[in-house]
Amino acid sequence: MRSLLFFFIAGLSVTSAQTDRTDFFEAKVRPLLVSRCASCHGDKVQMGGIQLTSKDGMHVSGTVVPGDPASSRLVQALRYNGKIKMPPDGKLGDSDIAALESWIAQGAVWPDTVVASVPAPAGYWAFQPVKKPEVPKVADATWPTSDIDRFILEKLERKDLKPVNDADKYALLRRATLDVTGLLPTPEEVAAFEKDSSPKAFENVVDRLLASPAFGDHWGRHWLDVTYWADTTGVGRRIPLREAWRYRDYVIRSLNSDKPYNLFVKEQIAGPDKNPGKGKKAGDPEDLAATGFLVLGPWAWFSYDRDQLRSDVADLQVDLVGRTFLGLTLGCARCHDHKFDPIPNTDYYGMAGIFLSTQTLSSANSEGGLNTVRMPDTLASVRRYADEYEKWEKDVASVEAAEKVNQKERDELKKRLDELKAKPKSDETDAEIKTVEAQFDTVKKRSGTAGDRQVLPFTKYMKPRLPEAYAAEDMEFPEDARLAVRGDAHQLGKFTPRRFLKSAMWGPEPEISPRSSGRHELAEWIADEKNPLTARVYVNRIWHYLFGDGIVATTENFGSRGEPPTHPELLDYLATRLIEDGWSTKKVIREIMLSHVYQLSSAPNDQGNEIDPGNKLLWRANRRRLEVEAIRDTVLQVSGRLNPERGGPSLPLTAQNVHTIAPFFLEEDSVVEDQVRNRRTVYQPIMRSGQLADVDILNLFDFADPDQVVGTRIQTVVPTQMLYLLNSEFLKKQSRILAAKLLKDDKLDDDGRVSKIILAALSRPATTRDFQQARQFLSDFKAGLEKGHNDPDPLTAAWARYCHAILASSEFLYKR
Amino acid sequence: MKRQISKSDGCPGCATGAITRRGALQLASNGFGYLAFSALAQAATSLTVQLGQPHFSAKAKNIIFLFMPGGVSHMESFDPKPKLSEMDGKPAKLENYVAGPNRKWLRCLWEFKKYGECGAPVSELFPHTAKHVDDLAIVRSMKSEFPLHARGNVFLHTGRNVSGYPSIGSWVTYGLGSENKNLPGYVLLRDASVPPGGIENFSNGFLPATHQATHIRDEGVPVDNINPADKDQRVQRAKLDALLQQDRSFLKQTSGDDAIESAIANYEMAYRMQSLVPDVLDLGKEPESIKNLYGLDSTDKAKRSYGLQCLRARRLVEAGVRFVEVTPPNLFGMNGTWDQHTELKKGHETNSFVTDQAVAALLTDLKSRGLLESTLVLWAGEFGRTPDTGNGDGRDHHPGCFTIWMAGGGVKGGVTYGETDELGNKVASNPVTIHDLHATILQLLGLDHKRLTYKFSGRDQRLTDVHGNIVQEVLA
Repeated sequence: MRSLLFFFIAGLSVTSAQTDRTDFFEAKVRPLLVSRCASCHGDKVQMGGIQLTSKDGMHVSGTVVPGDPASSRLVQALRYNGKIKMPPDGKLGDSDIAALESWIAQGAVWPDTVVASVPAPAGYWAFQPVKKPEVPKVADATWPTSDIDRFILEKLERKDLKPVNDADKYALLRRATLDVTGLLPTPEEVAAFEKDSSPKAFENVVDRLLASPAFGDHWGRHWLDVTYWADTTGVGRRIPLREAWRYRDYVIRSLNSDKPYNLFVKEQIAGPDKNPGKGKKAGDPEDLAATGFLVLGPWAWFSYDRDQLRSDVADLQVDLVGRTFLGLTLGCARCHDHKFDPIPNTDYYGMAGIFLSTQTLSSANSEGGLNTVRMPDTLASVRRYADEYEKWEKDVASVEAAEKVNQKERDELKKRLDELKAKPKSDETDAEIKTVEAQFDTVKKRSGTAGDRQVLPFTKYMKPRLPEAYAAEDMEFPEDARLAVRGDAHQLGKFTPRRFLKSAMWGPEPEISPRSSGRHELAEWIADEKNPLTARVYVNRIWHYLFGDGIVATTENFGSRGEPPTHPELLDYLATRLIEDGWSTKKVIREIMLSHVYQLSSAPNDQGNEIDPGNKLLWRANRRRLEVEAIRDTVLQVSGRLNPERGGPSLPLTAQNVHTIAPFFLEEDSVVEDQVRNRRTVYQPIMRSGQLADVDILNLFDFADPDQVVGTRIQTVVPTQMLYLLNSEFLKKQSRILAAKLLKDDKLDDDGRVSKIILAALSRPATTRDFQQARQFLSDFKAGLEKGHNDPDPLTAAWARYCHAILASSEFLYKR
Repeated sequence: MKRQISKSDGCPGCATGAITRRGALQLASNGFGYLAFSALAQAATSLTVQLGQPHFSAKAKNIIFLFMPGGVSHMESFDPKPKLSEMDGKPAKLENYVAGPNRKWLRCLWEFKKYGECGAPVSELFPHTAKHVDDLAIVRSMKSEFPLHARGNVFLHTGRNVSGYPSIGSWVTYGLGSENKNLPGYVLLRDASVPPGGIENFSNGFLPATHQATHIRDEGVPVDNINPADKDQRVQRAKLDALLQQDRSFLKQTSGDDAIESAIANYEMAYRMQSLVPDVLDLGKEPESIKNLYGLDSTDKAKRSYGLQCLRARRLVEAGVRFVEVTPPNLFGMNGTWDQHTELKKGHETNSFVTDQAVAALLTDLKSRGLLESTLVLWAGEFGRTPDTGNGDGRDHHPGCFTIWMAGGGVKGGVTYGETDELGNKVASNPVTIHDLHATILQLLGLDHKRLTYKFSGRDQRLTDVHGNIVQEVLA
């Protein structure tokens, strides 16, 4: 307070008072008005007709009386003296109020410029149309094998940086196989690539990998990272979403069939095209699950404040669509115009209106409370349903019958117990009470309960249903959203017409039909080849997954607070190539992987470390850790236990796991079912928070939080990970299985076994050093054994530990 | 570099301070083991921002959060309502989620007495805690927004009603770093159950994984994967050496990659933790008198379990763990042990029998060791209970008003703050929201809730989002 007055008085005493008052206004007053008042009394909304962002608006009904703070209603409201208390969410600090008073006392000087509430979009790169850039000229014409390389080399040459040598064949095959499929090359694949000296050897590998269904497993999971998908809903409780797998399978299927990305985008926002037009093939009927993208999210399925819930869901959807497809943080514009990007409040509510006009939650508070649609019936599905239903009815009847008998017995025992307890105390009655109590417990256990969980309600819960999917539908009466003050659904302002982002328009704004939600129009606009963001954001992610860093490092933020692109021309080149190639994901991946830069070694050198230690210019390959799914999947692959089955439901819905008091939810200690457990991680049940014990590795190695859009997973290196690798049942068990497998082959000697493990796990031939280290370990272990280790099978025990060490090693966990 | 981490002044969104990948690794390891590499230390000094430092000096360095899930009845613990006795049995017409035609007022089932110099009234339910009222700041005017357990709990822990946000424990360890580089910064002491809201209550959300809670259970293996895969230490060591040898060859071949370096360091750290964590949890050196103070001599299993976890809480704080949270054994249903829609008398009495002695013991023990001054103790649940009843036998969920208390580090003792109306239905003066509580807790720990930020999804996220006022009246 004192320093503020000092500032003000000192200001007056120097030079022109007017200039100083303007400075004071800009330094102290305007920031307050913009940050604390403008969202309700700004250019867009003027609650109570009062606008605090213009000279005229301030004088309405004595809000500001220049020179007289005491009479200014603004001051009374700020002081929380009268009935009107502003800002409503909390009183300003004393020094802030004093600043406003001083300003009014000094005549409420208002400089003749308007409050800039939206940063100027002028020329911001991400909103400019994508243009195919000229391929740059490079000095070294022999190094590049593709245009991509020329973009890279040009920047390297400018810094006098030379790319390192190529990766060796083993490292390259391992890297490529992990990047495309999330699995390791088999020993046979390593041998074949080793032998193939043709110039097309690597190209053939890439084509083989991209054609493998494992591609969809791996890249489908990449896509799931940028959605809110999970197998459960609810805040906190794990309410099972029995049909959520259909969206997961839709994503994997779409990637495997190389569905054009623009179509993939449209289906997820607006649903599959029901009338694809003459000559065009209708999509897979299962694609109805595509809008599960919008429906499956981190929202509660139930709230006493339904309006706020709807508003919160629409908010999360706007943010989802913004980050996933456009690389923009639209959620920021819920409470105020975006502070850094040209996204006004009205654009946000324009989009929110689209989602408020979309049915996401079902009106019934049924399981999950999400909107469902029936999948098209087929003869097979109806027959299956009829059979299942018949079986289910029998199940219920038999459980009920058993329960009736048990109930009767229980009642009788209870009665007997009451009689006994009413008797005078004696050792005899006490003993009998104990016997009857024991009998009661036995009956209770057998009476349709599994542990303390009820079988009857569970059996009823498992009632078969005709196939359905979680999917979005238009509301019967679409409507525009109203601006909500700070996102509060009960403080509503003006209606805002449904629309998309004004500053990313390349032509006239598309019109939205008043009779539909507008999702269709939004989808068309996002998937348009002229959209400046869509293709850029997508190819940037592909690049990120293949190099470890995006060209734009902030993969979900292309706004001005994100990182600028390291290679803007390359980004546009790739975006153009995507569109030219019919939005084919696989073709873009192929082109990138066949570039020279993808095939570089990851070993650094001094020159590079000096000039570009962060490797932003890509003078070498980045050494990247395997994604957590790949760690788990490859351990199972090497041990030979990976279950190749794909798709379908994976939730462990058993009487043991499901808590049968509404809302039915999965217990914390739920166990994944046997037929699912050894499948690839992408097919494991995914909880919203805290993964199940069978896949607890996901809790440790930076799995993408399903509640967030995570294009770039954070990478932590912490001791709990090492504790997992050293001590978890999973690693222990798979190592033992691997060892037993090796020892089965009695033609192998010790070196032969080492060769086999190293080739399977590290995708390279064993070296002298490997043999030495193995021999050393085996002899150490033997020495340990002699001092009293008592494993019934010491040979397997020794090899299990050696295998364990290899599976926990960095060389296994990283791509070379 | 994966994400920018920053701690900055002012408006959410105005973050600065990018850090290097090495810096990120170093930060990531801060909470749970520190990498003693000079290269990393150098990287740390070049950071534009410093983490792991409070914003200003504060008395509290650690916090123990005694979480009381389910909804403790405020009228029957610290906020007496004699008027309810007059109204007992008369029709009640409250506007809340359970409103209905057959509801009646229900008198307080326990008597109150005044305690201490401050004369704060406490019910018979908490005879042990009552002796400490002169150290407590009791807040009677808490308000929450959600009458459901899962959301109420997640809101209490994260300040949000949607999933995916960090728990207050994660925020605190993120803000203050760890005092003991060999122990986790955020520890949850619990029994086999997890309160509604699940793991999410204790999740790091978008903060680095190092800030998530490490769960320590009352029985069995206390921490996941802490028991060595091989019992024989020589075998363990031989296996680890084989692994490290393999890693060192790889490191040489890769010309010294920092990620591989930290992997090696982390293996050594993990190996040491295998013995360190059990040491901290081992009560072997605690005298019987201390164990008995916490009720470890009780014949009741639940009481022993809670006493054990409270004593461990003290030991962990002593060892330098920042944020220790203790949940009581879950004895009634799945909704938090204090959730008595029926059998209020039995339920609340059982829970107070199980928890009250150990809570008081913790205060006594901390105080006698001089630790209470630097340890903030928070006792709180997600909401209170309705002053009326639907069945005459229990009370329902009541986020409209409820009571919590704080003690220790920087808290003004003997204070009662805020008031509810004469029936305990609504806050009558000085409402305190969950955001206000969060802001106050951070303040007590030396953190400015407006400056404790983490850049995520394009803006500087805060525990208190855009809310939160510090309750000055409870600060010493």
